[in-house]
Amino acid sequence: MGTIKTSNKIKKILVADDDPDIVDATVLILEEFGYQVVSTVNGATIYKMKKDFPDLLLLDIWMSGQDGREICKFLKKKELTKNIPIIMMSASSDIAQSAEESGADDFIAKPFDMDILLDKIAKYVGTVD
Amino acid sequence: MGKTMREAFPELKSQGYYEMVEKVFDTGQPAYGNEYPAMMDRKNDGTLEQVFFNFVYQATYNVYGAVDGIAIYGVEITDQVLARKNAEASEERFRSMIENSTDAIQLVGPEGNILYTSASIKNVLGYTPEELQGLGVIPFLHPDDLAYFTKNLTELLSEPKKQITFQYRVKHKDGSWAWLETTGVNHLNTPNINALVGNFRNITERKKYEEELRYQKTLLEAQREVSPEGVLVVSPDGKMASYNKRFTKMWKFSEKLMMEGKDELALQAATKELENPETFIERVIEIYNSHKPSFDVLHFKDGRVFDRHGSPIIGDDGTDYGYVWFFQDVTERKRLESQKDEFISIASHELKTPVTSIKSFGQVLRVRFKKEGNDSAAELLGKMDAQVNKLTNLIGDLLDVTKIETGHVQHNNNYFEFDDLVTELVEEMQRTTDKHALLQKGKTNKRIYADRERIGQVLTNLISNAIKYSPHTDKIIIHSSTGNGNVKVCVEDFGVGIPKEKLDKVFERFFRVSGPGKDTFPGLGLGLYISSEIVKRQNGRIWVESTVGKGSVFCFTLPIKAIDR
Repeated sequence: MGTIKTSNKIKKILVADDDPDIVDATVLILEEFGYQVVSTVNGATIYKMKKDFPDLLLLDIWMSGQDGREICKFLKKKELTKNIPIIMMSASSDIAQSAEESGADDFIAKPFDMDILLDKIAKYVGTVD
Repeated sequence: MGKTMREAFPELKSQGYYEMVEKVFDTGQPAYGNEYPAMMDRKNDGTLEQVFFNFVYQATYNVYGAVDGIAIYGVEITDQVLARKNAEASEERFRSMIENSTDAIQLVGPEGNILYTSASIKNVLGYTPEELQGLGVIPFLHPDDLAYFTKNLTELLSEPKKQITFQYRVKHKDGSWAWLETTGVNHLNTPNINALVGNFRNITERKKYEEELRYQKTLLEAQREVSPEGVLVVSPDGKMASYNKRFTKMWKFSEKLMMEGKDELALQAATKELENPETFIERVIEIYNSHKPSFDVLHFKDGRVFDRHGSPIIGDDGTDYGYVWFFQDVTERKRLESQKDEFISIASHELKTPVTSIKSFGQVLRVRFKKEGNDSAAELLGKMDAQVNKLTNLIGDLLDVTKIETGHVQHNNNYFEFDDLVTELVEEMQRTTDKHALLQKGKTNKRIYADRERIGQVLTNLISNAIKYSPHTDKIIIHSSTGNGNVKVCVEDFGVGIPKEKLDKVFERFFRVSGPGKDTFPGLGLGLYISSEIVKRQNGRIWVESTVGKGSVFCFTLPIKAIDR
């Protein structure tokens, strides 16, 4: 935990969620469709991220001990990371508002449909095949 | 002199005098008159006066023994007669007053025996004076009042002219106990009376009313004090006319403030405790002026929350008796409510998390089976996915209902193409059914300002209901149109329909339609309730037309022009 796992695929997507099962499931989908996926269950690792930035961040709002909205605002403020597309995800119904307030590019409600998730990701980084 | 009697006193005609004289003349027998009345013109001016005479008409005889004249010895006694008659009338009036009064008078001798009772005792206790004459008073008394009566009697006897008023019970002629109020005066030493004089009044009815009043008052006090709410009654002139201990305690009002009893001062003291003092006073004045029932929630600086109910107190005859307030401390209830809301919010979040994993794994597996050409396995996983969606919707509904009830529904309004939303959802819903064809008719060509996601939720609910409640038909029509500044969508099915008497209940919580036979349809009965609440909050209207066995049409409208709240 606390490290970013890497797999050898083309576009790199960072999945950040404090629930390892969600991380597993999401990584499974994204890898199935050819993306390079890194993941973390700890929000603090994102703050420490200095290099090897992902092409897109899939960010949960309720990270244990960390607020996804604050992480989003932090990344959007910094020159190096402000252009990384961020898709917020949450099982809370006020996700649309949270995403807008924290400057995220898009959002997706849990439980999400695989097709919708893939459509949203493709919109920012394109498909792999 | 020298005139005949008829000539001298013509006014005496037909008063019997002439006839009397003639009779004495004819018979020789004397005639007597005692207070004999006559009308006479004594002043010779034509006016007749009532006069009275005592007289003797005595025949005189000549030497032959024949009547030759009449000697009249007459005395006019008019003044004496009139004076006596006046006295008699006055006494009669006085007696009549005593005898017919609702009060009775009794004279009791020094030994306690009844000397005189006025006839009106019949009205007071049912006896005649004769029945009581000579009897003692004590045997008539209620045993419980004996000591009290004796004490008063002793006091009455203690000095001459002493006067006492007291109340006690005595036996009525009909056997019941009657309450008497007696004013007794000690006239034992007063010449010509030499008795205790009692004036009685029957106050049994009054006692009954007093007792009823006392009962009502006690009851009211008991109810007021046992009430879990603080109670305050303010009179029309602004006095705190009645309140319970809880009221004083809840508001932490000082004893001094309550003693002064001025509502105005209490209101001022209350403002120091409240979060919105200005609106509090304004509202109270508004309520007092309205003379109408009221309900408000009061928030305290210390975090307490009171529900306040009020009602005017108006008598049967329209008399204004003021205003009554009930205060209920709902702080704990509110805390539990917010705890419940928080719990449901967390619970639904936690439920959604494993569902997200299940759904993702299922969808990935489905893709893999498809790639391998295992279509039947892929199909099973598709069905599993549909069930997961249902589960997700149920969790969402539960959360929505909680939010609606606590007023926490958030609307994120934005401009969007209404027709695009309809098309998108019709296509999405078509994927959930093989049996029904969803036909889209009409267009609005409007961009509206609303919560796209929530409106989508309404339309999804209406279409999925149409599918669910038309298991034996295969067509559902979605009509779009505009009119009166609104966009309108109707979802028409040809299914089981809804009985007329239940039409007004379909938008209530937990309502469910049962089909023909004993068909039942699954669901919590929350969807339409949530939909109608969403449409209402978006300033729209939702309604239904339906015929049993023919199908239903659910429609809703939304304003095209933005009404942002």
